[in-house]
Amino acid sequence: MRDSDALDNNPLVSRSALEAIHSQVFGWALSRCDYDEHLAGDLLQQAYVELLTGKAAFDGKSSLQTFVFGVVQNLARSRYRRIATRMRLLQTYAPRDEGVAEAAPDANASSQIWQAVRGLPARQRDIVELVFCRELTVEEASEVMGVSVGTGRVHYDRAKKALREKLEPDRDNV
Amino acid sequence: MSENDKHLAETLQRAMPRATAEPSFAHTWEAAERRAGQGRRRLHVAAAAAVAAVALLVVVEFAAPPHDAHEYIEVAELLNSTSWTAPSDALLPARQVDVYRDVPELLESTDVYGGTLL
Repeated sequence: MRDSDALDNNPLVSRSALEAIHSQVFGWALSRCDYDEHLAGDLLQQAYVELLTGKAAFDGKSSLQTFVFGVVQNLARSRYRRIATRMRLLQTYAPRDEGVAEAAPDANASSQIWQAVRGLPARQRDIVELVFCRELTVEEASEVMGVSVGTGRVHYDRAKKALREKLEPDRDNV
Repeated sequence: MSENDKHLAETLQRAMPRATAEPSFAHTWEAAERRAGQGRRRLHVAAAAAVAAVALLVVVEFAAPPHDAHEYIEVAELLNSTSWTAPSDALLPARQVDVYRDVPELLESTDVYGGTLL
């Protein structure tokens, strides 16, 4: 059934439904842009343009969130790949901000845990973030990543194993 | 999800970096609508330019006289247009083009007398 605020070129997508998942989608876009908020805002805007123009047509076979995550993922892969590489290079070689060293101990621990996630191979990192942080199922995460469910499960299991190996000492200390 | 997985999920959710400021949906949506509109306008301009170019080609094609039109040509005019005289013909007032029609005779004898030509 078509909502009253459904998009002209995407009848199964409504503005209100997009508004409801806006925060989650922004979080995912942020992660796709190495946590650069301006880039993430631009990426999200472009994803909405794709939906408005009907270039990304939702057929209702998956959840809207999964679909929009997939749109963001594809856009990030194609359009923002070069920018993201440049951002990573900048972050790697730019002089460190001294303020980071003075951060709270709790924030530092969080940062170490997240460093462990960032140290994973790209696919494993993506599935960890989608399943554990964005609360998608492995099936949905696989769809967003554009891989088969079987491949998704393999990445998921390997990622969990690798993360536990990295984080176990911390857990033992607690 | 097992207990271990839940614990891992909680740990990661706490550790996950978060945005300091999230753009509002309304603001992002308006900007997206503007961008989509610009794209549409660009498409319309390109389409209009293509239509104008085609129309111009059609007008030029119809305005030009047809290549296979039949025209009446005077026979005399046609013959005049196919004959040509060289400017140097003016130097031959008497015989003009007939100058090479006759082979000139050489006034020379081939009779021999006493071993020499007469």
